[in-house]
Amino acid sequence: MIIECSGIARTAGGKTILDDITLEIRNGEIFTLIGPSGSGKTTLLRLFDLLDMPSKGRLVFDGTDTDAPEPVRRAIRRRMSMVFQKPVVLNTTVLENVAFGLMVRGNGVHEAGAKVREVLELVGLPGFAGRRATTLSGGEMQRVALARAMVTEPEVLILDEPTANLDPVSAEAIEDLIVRINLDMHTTIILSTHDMIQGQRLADRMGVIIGGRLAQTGTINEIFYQPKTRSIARFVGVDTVLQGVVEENDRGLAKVVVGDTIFEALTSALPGLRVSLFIRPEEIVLTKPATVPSPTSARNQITGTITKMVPVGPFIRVILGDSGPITALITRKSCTEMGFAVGMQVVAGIKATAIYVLPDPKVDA
Amino acid sequence: MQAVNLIVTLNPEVMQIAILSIYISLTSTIIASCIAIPAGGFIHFYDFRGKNVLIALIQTLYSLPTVVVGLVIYLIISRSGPLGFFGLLFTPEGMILGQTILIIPIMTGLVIAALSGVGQEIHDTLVSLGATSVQSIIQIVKEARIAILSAVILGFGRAISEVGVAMMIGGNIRGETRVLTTAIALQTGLGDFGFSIALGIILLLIALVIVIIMYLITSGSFGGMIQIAGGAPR
Repeated sequence: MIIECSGIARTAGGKTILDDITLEIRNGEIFTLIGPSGSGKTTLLRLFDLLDMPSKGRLVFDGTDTDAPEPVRRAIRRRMSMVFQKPVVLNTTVLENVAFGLMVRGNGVHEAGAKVREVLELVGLPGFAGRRATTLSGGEMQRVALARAMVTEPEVLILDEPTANLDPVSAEAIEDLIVRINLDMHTTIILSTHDMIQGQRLADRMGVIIGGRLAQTGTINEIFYQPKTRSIARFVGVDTVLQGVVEENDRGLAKVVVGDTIFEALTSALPGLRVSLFIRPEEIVLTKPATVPSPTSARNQITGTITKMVPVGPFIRVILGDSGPITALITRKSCTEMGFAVGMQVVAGIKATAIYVLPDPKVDA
Repeated sequence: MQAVNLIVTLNPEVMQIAILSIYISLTSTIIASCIAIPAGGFIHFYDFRGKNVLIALIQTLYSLPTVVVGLVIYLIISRSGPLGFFGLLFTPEGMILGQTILIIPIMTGLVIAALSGVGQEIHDTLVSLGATSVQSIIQIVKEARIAILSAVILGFGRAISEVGVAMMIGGNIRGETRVLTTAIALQTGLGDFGFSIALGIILLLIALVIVIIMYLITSGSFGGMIQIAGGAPR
């Protein structure tokens, strides 16, 4: 464990921003914090980087308690680097920006210059050393910030929404770089994002922060397919949450009654138990009712009427009204091919394995 | 026409007055900088009781009337005053003292504003990169260098254009303490408009040069030069 925190809280201006966070970051992993804006991600990352002090709890870095005098904290801080959400550059050359961390650690000019050039190459800014950092574009500035954070070869690299203000191409370049740093240099990376797709792409493990509390930690599969609460489910893109009662359970394959529809799903929940069904929209296949036999092997074939169609980039979010609502995500192209329209009757095919069943007592409001 | 003639022919008296003005105000500005920049830095970087009151007081003194400074300095350095034995009254040195005191508050205030203009995110970045507090202060001052330079130039502008201190402490003695502003006041009173206009044009030219320098600095054309002057962080 490179970072261990137990029960840490952060109160500022009489307001509790973070509460009761207990979390471990493992050596060499990419750990992603996801959560809505204002949920406390940045605050937690600042505590990790020892920029602020927790109001409560213990934060241990590589075996050393960080509640220590400033020289000790600085020594720990020098083993980490942080890149902030808003690109911050010093009003000087790119070279001096990137070299800053080396200079304050007492490195010589020549040694620093060589390292800086090497890192600039790595972030895709070769030949930028002499440029004034403040004249660069947002994406370039963020890469300078990343180079500045990397050049000291930190054991832990903390990135606060590093691509939030960038165009998709720059964002992808930064993401590739993050993965490369992790692989090549075995740097532990802690990243925050409100973009769960990015979180999914990069992370080994994830933590979901909602309202200043750590709602769930786990692997990507656990978080995306087995969210612990309904608010986590909502946040990680589980659009369909249905409430029902288990009618029968045949060695793990259960029939769950939702309204007047029966869903088959995998669960150990016993008959009579109230449960919630979580279904990710991309797991639902929509077909026309006339198609016989069904082109999918899905156990559940639920008939419903399209009540709403919302375009989402190249996809369309189709919402079925009758036994739901059930939300499916289909490509724009297949939507046109199938001729779907509001008011049409369609069949939603859902595999039993695509439904995550959560017994109700655990479900929050 | 007479005014232009006085300037073009480099009239010795006009030139002597102009050079003395620049000498006095420049010296005041340099001395005031040596006091105002560290003072502003101290007030900005350290927390102490009454900090906000002090900043409010400094801001009030932005509009310190020149004649009030003139009066107070006069009382202090006149023969019977506490510093009378220095014999500073009616000397350029006395004027430098007065102008220095006059411009310290505005320069200190603007230095504080300049340093405050360097955002918290820069400070966080420096700390995060492992800087000690001294290393961060040095870098923050470097970040604010243009705004600090503007404070210095503004101080010079206030010094060269004031008339109260120059008149009361200098006494407008021809060839000794006569500067642009006091000479204009006197010559206008005597009806020698040509001479006054010539001096007025020179004063405006000095202001223009200041504006041009400020423009070049803020637009970054001097960036490299300041860099060299300030020294690279190595």
